[in-house]
Amino acid sequence: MEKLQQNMNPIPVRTWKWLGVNDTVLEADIPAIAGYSKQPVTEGSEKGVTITDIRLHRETVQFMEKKMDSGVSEAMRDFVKKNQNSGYFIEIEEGKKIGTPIILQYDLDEENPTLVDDHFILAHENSEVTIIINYTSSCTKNGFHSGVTKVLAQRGAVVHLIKVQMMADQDTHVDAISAIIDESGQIDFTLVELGALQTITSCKTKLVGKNSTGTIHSLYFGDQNRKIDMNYVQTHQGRESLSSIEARGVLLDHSQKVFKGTLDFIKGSSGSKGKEEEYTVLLSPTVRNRSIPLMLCGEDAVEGQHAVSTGKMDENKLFYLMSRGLSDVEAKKLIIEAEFQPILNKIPVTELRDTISTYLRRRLNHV
Amino acid sequence: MAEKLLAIHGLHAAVEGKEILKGLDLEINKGEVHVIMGPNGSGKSTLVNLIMGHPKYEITAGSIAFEGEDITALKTYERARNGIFLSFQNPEEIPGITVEHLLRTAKNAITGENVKIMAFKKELKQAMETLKIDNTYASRHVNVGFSGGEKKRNEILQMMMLNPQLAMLDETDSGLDIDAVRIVSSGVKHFKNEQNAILIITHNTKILEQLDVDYVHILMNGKILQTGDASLISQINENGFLHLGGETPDSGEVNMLHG
Ligand SMILES: Nc1ncnc2c1ncn2[C@@H]1O[C@H](COP(=O)(O)OP(=O)(O)O)[C@@H](O)[C@H]1O
Ligand SMILES: [Mg+2]
Repeated sequence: MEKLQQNMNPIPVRTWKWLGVNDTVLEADIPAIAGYSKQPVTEGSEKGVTITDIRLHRETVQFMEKKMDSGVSEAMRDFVKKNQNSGYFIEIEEGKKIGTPIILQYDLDEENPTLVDDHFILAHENSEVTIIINYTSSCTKNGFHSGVTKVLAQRGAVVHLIKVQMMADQDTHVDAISAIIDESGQIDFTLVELGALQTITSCKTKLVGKNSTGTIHSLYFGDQNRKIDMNYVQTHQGRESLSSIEARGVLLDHSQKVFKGTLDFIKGSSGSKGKEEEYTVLLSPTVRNRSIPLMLCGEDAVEGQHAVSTGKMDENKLFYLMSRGLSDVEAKKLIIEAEFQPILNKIPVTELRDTISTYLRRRLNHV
Repeated sequence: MAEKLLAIHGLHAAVEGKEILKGLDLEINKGEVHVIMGPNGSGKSTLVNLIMGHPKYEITAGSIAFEGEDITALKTYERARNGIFLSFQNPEEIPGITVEHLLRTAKNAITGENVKIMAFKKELKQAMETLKIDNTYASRHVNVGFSGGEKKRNEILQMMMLNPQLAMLDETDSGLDIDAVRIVSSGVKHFKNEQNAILIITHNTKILEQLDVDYVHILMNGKILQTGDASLISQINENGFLHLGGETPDSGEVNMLHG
């Protein structure tokens, strides 16, 4: 385990060693992984979708994986292979537009405190789908989730993958996503990291095809002693590919956050555009907030821009709301909720949005 | 006898170490309409921000009482819940929060109970009609992408919905065209009754046309330099502030005062 616990989240070049962010150390001990016996897929799926146990598709998956760099360290990859206790192969037929979001719900509890999931989403040409994977936990001690999700959007396919993490305060969450987008395909990620004591996530997309589009919208909320490490990479290979990374979040108490966002323009990706933006609201002086935006240009004819900003709560906005009768806490809650709204609005399921809002409100009660 | 609502005595106040108000007295009774005029930078906004409790403005001497109680130690939201309202000269934009959501949250906070949704919606609809605000604005984010005039109308909408005892309007008419001023003015008239009071900061008379103004105060050199009735407004409009014997705020020491 020694090897896995270090270097969980490497960034593409080791330029940043001096900042101490290149190697993310997993702090909890990795528990023995037992079975996960609950059924995460609750509803039957529409025509055009098949959802089957990934273990039945070893060969297909292995073949596909050869094309993809999973974006995680080998140690992590081996760990998931060896310990996997859940996972689905989700396939969308060519040309099928799936209207209803597919939902996988993982809920850790005392009987199922460990989850190692491995998913593969294959969207055939010109298909469209929204998939939601939600992680919650009622573990009272040290729930553990670690997993890998791979997505392949073939020519013209559009995939929206939403991952929401609302695990319990002592839990560990290590999540790696890697994706490939073929010509004119699009993958949008909405990543919501709200719970767990330590969160280490990565999301790496390769925009392989011409005119491919990849977006990442991420939302995080750190309070108490939470540690959040996010590593997002958009690698442009195809010509005229478009990418964006947008992260926003709120930090308070003694929480810590590292955000690494990389736009990587490989030679040959001419005419591509990438953009990254990060905005953090800092609510206490004791938080630790680090951002490492990175742009790698192996190609000249590209456009990249990044903006990182942090803010305190705007005193005048707070005054305005308080002049309308809202207490300090109510005013701050309202501003934070407002801050989160644009990203939450990307979740097309009202019940889940409401669950998240309620969860957030409860957490915000001590702001 | 009229009931006293606001009583300010000997108020000295500073912002970022600079003294702006230098011994200001002002009393407002229920049922009254007061107007404050004064040159730019004379401290009009400072005064109303102080009454509302903006943390940036510091009281160095004097007192502010509302309904007989000193409120200088109260937080802004406590003052709001006591019935003080400020229509901002520059209303803040709050992205992500709709006009309706803010109003309902505010109303819950001020009344201390959960407002009934249907009754609230009806009241909101009526107020918006009075102010000729399109009802789509209820679901727009507070002041985001609003024109100057729309922001000011939104302030008056909040005033009407929250129904304060003391409404302070800081240049609510500035930057509005004639029709918009008339609409705002009718909203204010609609709101006004014998139990509440209004303090209007303005440079114009248009907003006052539908109201019976009781007192006009000239704020200069950190004090109320002169108090008169509505006729003072036309005097100022004809002759400016300088003839009153005060000086513009930046012209140095004050030698002579009368009032
Ligand atoms: N937030 C602030 N920071 C620094 N100076 C301020 C601030 N607010 C007001 N002032 C100063 O206080 C004085 C009075 O301003 P203000 O009350 O806005 O005047 P008025 O509303 O009468 O035009 C001005 O000199 C202004 O520059
Ligand atoms: Mg002013």
